[in-house]
Amino acid sequence: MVLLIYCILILYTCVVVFPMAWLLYTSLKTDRDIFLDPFSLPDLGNLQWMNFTNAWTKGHFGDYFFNSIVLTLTTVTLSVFVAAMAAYALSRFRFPGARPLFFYFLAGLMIPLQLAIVPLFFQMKQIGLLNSRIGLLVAYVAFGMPFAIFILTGFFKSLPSSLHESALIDGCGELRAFWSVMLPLARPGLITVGIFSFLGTWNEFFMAFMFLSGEGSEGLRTLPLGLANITIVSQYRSDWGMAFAGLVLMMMPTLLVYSVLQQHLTKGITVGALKG
Amino acid sequence: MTSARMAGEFARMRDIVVAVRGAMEGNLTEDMHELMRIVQEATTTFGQAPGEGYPQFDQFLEDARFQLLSGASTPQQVADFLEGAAQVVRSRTENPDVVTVRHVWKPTFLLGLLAAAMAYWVWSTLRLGARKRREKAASISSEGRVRLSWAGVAFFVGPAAVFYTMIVIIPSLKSFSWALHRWDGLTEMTWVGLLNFQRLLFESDGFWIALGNNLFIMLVIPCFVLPLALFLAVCISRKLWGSRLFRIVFFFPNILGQVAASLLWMHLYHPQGGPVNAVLTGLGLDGFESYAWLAQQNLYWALVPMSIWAAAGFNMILFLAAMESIPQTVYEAADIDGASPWLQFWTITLPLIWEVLSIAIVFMIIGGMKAFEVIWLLTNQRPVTQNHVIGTRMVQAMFKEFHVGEATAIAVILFLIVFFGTTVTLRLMRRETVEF
Repeated sequence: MVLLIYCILILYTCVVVFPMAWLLYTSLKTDRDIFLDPFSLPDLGNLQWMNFTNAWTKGHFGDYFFNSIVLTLTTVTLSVFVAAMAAYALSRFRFPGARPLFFYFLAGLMIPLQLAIVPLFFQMKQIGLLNSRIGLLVAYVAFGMPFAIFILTGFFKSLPSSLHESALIDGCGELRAFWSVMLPLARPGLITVGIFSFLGTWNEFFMAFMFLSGEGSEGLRTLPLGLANITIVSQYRSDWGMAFAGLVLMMMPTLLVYSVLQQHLTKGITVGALKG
Repeated sequence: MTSARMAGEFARMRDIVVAVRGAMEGNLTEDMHELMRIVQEATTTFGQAPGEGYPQFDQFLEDARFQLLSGASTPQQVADFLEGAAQVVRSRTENPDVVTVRHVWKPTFLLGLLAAAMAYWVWSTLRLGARKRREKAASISSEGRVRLSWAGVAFFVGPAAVFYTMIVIIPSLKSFSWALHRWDGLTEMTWVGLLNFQRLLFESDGFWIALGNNLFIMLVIPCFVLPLALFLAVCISRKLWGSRLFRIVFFFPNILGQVAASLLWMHLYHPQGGPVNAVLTGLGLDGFESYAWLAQQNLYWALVPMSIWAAAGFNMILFLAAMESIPQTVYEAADIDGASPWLQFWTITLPLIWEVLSIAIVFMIIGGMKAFEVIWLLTNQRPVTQNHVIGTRMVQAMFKEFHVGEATAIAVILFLIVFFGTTVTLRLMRRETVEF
């Protein structure tokens, strides 16, 4: 019985891992070899690192990578801070309208991006934030708010209030108590929110596609956007190597984050889903 | 390549989607050049395309091109199709306020369903609200919390509230009003009442095809993903050696995101160089040699393996978390009573993870309605009518046809379906939760 279960699990592991492994080693093959035999391992004496350098320079992946990194890092930092401040006030203080305000934020969880996107597009156009990094950054932060506030209020609520009080007694101001006592205590929550924000932004396509498709925004495009275009072109030019290398480049940071912070992520998902 | 039939066969073999896209860019390998020459000659035979200058015609041309290339229709049929389409577009332009009713049952059914969901939602909100208020008054109180000054509120909550209101709430509310207008994005908006909705629900074939495709993603794909996820969760929940590793591996595809997943599977499904066909032909299924998985008629079934790959691990993690909160003693007691593992699954595990199951279904509903990237990318950003989903239809209406009002009307319908679909599912599936 146990043996059978192992067989099934290992079989499914192969199904899951093979596409990624295939992508990885195929990105080091020549186009000719890819077509002739999709399975063969790359020729070890003749690894096509060219694919990566091609992608980086000719395919502009260097630019895309840089744009994505800048956008993702700023989005993660800004949304974690803004959400943490709001969640802190909403969960640990008393003020008229605190509860309605909390539900006002939560309502955002029910709003699909598509509902807001068309008027938002024209709004951005009006204030000149279309085809700019700032516009996209602001949109990412705002759309991340409901989930981040939802997770973080839960975290702040669970912290003991005695610490907060003793910090105030020791002469900390509210701001100081927040910054150097409560924020460090909520670190697991901040990390969870940060990971989700990272994954969401790094892989985001729809908003980037909407806001960065205009003339003159070629230099601002993010990895998913650039990769989508290159993959489609490579299909009919039969020029696969570059597209494969680009896809590997896009997956690498995700893999890195996942291998380091994997436990925070799965925990975050279960907490988010079970309480939602 | 000597005849139109051969051209069609060639296009099928080489993956039509790619062939058309390649032809559009004027950037061809040699054999495709030959094919496109034949197609070009076909269009010169039948003269200028009739939709010149009408952005709405774009979709029809796209469809015609596919029909021609795939050999699904003869050139004569395609010409007739285009002529009919041109008449539709022409009469739409001349009488923009007239709606021809082409669908009766589907919109009646959808509107009825939405009305019923709305009624149920209002009724259950009132009923739950009364109970909750009583409970909340007893359990949660903000007594003992420090009072925050208005300056403090403005400082802490202000930035989040401003961002969120400006970017999420105001545009969302605007959508409801814009949906009642006609606007091309440049000139004055004109008020048209419910015309956009009438046109989508009662006249447009494309809208219903798109909604049908969304339903496929929402209903058919979970039938494959959820049982598999549940099965894997049951396998792993027995404390096996290495179960942590399996978890980590199975979950990984989920976080790669839809773009990476779509593009990866685009390569996997490639008719010639893709490993999927290579495996299948290797197993002796010769019918899969050069099989175009992503061609119009196969696309949605091709999503099934891809969705399993991407989503089964995520759902498995959800189920596992719920299973682990069930105390072992319950199973021990069942063992003593001689219940088989199969019986234990149906009588203990499934009822106790019911709530998480409902959440997984809700995620699937939301994901299915909001689907955009997968379809948009797998169709090379030019879906034919048959392959649209609501999300891509909206982008088409906005960016290609410049019907801003119609695009927001689509968004409003999408929101209503998501909102009532999820809240009603959650409430219908709610049962008394068991606390340990």
